[in-house]
Amino acid sequence: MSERTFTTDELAQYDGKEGRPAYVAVGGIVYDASQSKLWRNGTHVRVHQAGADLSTALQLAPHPADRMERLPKVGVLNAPAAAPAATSSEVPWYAAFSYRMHSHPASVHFPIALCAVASVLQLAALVLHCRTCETVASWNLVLGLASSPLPILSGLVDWRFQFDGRATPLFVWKIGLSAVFVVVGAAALAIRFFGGEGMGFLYDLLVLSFAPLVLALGFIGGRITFPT
Amino acid sequence: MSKDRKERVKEIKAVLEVAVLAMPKERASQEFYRNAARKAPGELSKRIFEELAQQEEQHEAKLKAIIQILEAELKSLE
Repeated sequence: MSERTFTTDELAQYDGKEGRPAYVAVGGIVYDASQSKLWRNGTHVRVHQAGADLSTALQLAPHPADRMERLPKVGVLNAPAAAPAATSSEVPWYAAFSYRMHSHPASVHFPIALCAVASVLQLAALVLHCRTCETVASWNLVLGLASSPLPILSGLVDWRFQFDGRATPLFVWKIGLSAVFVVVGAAALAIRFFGGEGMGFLYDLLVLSFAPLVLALGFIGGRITFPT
Repeated sequence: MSKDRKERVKEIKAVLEVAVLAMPKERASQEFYRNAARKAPGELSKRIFEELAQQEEQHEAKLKAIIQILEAELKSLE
């Protein structure tokens, strides 16, 4: 007798509910779990549902994969097999090198410190009416922004290859605030060196905003590196 | 989206973030043990470090599986 071939949609009909058989697919083979006490009503350990491909879920099982061999086989699943979990050998050499050399944490402190100092000096310039403070603040800003491409690039490479580019809230915030950093920095520099009269207040605001901005970026970086 | 659903989505996202943040640490541990195995002076210690590296590789694979499952559940809820 030729074995039956199930599509994913067909398999979903065998969910073990309302008297229907409970079929489970693992590694492309469809098993009948209807008579198993561990699959009452098509549910296993209150987590896994029959009528689905559980190849990935089986990797987390506390029992060995060959436990499925105890169940009768009823066919094969005609669906792309779930991709095996990738491991560290799939990270490109430059990404592995960047991470091993700590490129991001090593370089990120430069723009953070320089732009934070720019904010402090700009505040001093405003409070003390100190022209020298303002000039030094602007050069700190220039150096801070000039030193930002490497940490931004290495951060993106680390995110892509070490964290699989997943947009979890921490990374959304980190990348979003980094974009704000670049925009605010470019705007501040444009005003400082090319801006006209009357833009002083806006410039002051932009430079002062760097302090909380880089603090937030540093905090998020710390949460990523030392998760709690 | 109902309140319960929103709570469930929030819960899944929080757990997903834990798994994502843990992944590079597993890779770093693998490399650490493999380097140790290469430098190990004796056959026994070499085998132990290789075994530890393999366990870290399995941890990474399990984290990837957890992430796949959680992302699938998130997709069905959103």
